[in-house]
Amino acid sequence: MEHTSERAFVRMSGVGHRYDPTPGSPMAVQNIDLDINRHEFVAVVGPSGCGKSTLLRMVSGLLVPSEGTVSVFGKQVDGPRDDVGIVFQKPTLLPWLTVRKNVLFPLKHKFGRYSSQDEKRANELLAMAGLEAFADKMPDELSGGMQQRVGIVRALLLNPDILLMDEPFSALDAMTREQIGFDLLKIWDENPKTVLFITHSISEAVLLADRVLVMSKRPGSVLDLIEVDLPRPRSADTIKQPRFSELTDRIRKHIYEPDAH
Amino acid sequence: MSTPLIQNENFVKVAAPLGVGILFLLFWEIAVQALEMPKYILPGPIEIFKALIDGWQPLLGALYITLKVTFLAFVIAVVLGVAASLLFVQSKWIEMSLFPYAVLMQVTPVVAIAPLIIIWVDDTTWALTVCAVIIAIFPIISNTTLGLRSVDPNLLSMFRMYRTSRWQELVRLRIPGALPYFFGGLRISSGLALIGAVVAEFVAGTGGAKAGLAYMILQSGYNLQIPRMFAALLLITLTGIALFALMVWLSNRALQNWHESALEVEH
Ligand SMILES: Nc1ncnc2c1ncn2[C@@H]1O[C@H](COP(=O)(O)OP(=O)(O)O)[C@@H](O)[C@H]1O
Ligand SMILES: [Mg+2]
Repeated sequence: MEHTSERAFVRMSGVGHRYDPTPGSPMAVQNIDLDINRHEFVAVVGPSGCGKSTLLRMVSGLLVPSEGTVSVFGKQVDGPRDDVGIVFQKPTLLPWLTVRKNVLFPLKHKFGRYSSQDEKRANELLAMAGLEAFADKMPDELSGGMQQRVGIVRALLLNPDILLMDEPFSALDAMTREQIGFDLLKIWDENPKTVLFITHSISEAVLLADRVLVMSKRPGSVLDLIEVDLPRPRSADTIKQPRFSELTDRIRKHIYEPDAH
Repeated sequence: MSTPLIQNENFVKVAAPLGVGILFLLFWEIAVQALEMPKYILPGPIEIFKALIDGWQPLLGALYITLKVTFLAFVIAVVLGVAASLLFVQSKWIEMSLFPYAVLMQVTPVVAIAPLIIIWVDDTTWALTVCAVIIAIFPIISNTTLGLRSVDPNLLSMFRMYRTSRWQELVRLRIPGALPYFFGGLRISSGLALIGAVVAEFVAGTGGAKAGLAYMILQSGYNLQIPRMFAALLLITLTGIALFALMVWLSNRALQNWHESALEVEH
């Protein structure tokens, strides 16, 4: 990749975490070393319970790792940062606010108000996500897929340098899921950011990411780090390429025959 | 007979229970007359209605007293209950230390402590109010506390990402999120405030100018004015229904944006 010469944007060195602080208690995640370049899209796959969310929370600053360090542009992460946007598995919208107000909420919350320019950008992003007709609706009037898009738009509005997504599409049906994935790539292409994307779908990881981190089952550690050398822009045709199945097969081997490694 | 009205669910919802009620009253009246039931044992609906009309002045006076106690108790229960909930969610320690006492208050039969309260509190109205508050406060505390606590953990994480103060978290996330729970508690509590006001007065048995509907029932019983007893009972029931309807209306108004919970109310 052309970015590799740059200093790593997000650097995890020797990161591990145990929820139970008693020494000797099991680790949820251990020995994670990963450098993510600026504007790189990294996906993380692994069996459920292997510590993917834990890893993401440590990058977000919501959770302080009990071992190792996470740093962003050389500065150690010791708490939540302004330049990080986060999207969870379930759309975490405030049910008492309209879609537009939900999107603008972080601004309103941070600065007490927002400008007409912010509102214009919100409308643009909503339009890009195909939601302009729903801007004044309440969240529960929208389908799950639409709500999730609103959550993504909200995370994008502050134009964060880092976008953290924890299984953002797993509650959606397969068709919506693929479409929303391509939409995300389009947005990412227009507003490049560093993305850490957690998923339990191997094909989704390969379809979207520049690199895929494969984690072992609990305690999660790195099994493999795979360079996805599929051309961009990716589309439904990408799936038909032989290279696509080669890459997904390689990941599947790790998941189904962890000892073969 | 299948008229289009029968297929209208809203119409049926009102008409069906109303029909049952009218049939019941009709059966009651016919049975009382056919069996020549003496009215000091079981009066018919017509006799009760007459008692309501004839005795409207003392009945309304008593209703006013009972309503006053009910509303006072309800308002105090809401204010104190919400304050307690806000205190409880400040720390697990506060909740663990104090919540058992809220439960204690809930499980102690108010009838058993009412005589004490009546001795301690001189003014009858306030004595009754205190009893009613003790009964009415628990649903407010438990519902509001539950509401303030049951925030989506992901939303909480998101607020942490915005680096919010505890105060902002409370005002912008926990309180709006707790509203449906709070209104649920309000509905139960309003009915309990009325029950508390009535039960306490049964125990207190105060007479004189300040007597409420419960005393009216007691007194009518002594005097064998059974129709009036029923009339007073009817007023208590109607008050309870009116209170409940008022609360449903209030919560629907307040939660207009809360589509889900507004729908729940209608079921
Ligand atoms: N708050 C927590 N307290 C204690 N254990 C936790 C907590 N969160 C997660 N865990 C444990 O850590 C492990 C990894 O969890 P998680 O990061 O959520 O996995 P994943 O997202 O890969 O499914 C699991 O075994 C889970 O039970
Ligand atoms: Mg997870």
